[in-house]
Amino acid sequence: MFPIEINDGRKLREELINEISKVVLGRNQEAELLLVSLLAQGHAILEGAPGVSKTLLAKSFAKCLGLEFRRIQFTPDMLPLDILGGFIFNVKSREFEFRRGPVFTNLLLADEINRAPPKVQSALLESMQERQVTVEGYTEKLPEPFMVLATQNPLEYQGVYPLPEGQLDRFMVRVTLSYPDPATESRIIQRNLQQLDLSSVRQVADGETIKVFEEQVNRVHFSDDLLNYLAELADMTRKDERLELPASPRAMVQLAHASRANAFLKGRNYVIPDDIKKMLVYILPHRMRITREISLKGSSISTEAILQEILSKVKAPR
Amino acid sequence: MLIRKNPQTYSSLAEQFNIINDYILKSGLTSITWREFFLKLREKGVEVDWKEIESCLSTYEAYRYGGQKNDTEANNAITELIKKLGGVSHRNK
Repeated sequence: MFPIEINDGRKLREELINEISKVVLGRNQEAELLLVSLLAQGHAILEGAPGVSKTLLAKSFAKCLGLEFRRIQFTPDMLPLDILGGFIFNVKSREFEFRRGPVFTNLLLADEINRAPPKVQSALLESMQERQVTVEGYTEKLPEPFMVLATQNPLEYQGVYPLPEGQLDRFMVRVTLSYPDPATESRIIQRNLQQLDLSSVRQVADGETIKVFEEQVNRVHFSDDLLNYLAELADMTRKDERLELPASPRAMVQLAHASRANAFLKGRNYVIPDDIKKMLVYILPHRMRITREISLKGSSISTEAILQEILSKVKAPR
Repeated sequence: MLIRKNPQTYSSLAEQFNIINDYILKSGLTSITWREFFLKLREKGVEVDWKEIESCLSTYEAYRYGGQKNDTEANNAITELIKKLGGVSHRNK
């Protein structure tokens, strides 16, 4: 049915990028990162100014992979039941019935997640971590595959509640969508002069296929040398005095999973150090925090820059 | 002790890659990966059969990181690269 052999990660990546680029221009790298996150059973946070194709990217990603897609626009007056669902009294049967909320889907776009109060944000926690929903002691599993794609407004904007560290740590990957370069921009404008049609995006997989791919990613070989490499990188973040919040063990586990997915999409059944180096800059920076002293001094150093320094100091296993 | 060794006598691909690794360590490029190192050489204009070298690298990576037990035999393109890196110095076992 689909043009991809069940063990061909490289083909899956190529097909996805080909299809998505029919409607979203200049976002190949971002689409690939979303695929890494999905196959590694993680969640992604999308950052970028309004109008840089975040929603279009998410929609075409879901369409291409045959995943059910739902979008929730987060607002300050939301309640947890708006996401999870809740018990509704059925007058006919005179019983309370569980009505599923929009979280019961394959790909959930949590738009402007930091506009909602912390109680609502944390309602997503269990869903993201346990892949299930519990309401009033009743637990129901979410569909598989399941992935949350959250968009976030910059903290300088008004009316935003910053995501707590514990919540940020649950997002495997942060994908930043910057403004397009002039050449891409003119192509975007030209394309949008006609009606953008999502139906031109061909479906190249479905939920069942994705589950098989996920299992294959779990079998990608991770050598002991690379485990030690990860441990040393983690240790270096913890010894760095500029970091108030270094990389957590969960972050390193997620880096290992993402590296496996990246290897699979490159057609390998083993991870190489380059997979770790490539994924590290998307997995770790959003979970780490620079000390207040350094921030107050007005230093422009970023967690990304510190991680690059660390990468240049730790011996790569060859 | 370092000795000169005939390029034809490399016993395996792993032995050849170990020699290049010695070169990398001496150059102080400890944090660099194989792919980054070869890219650097290409950018410097080192002329060897890069297609063949990339193929050897994939084979070596499968052995080194992929848990594959069998090391494969030495390759002429890698021998050529070792020469270009300044000789065939080799650690005496």
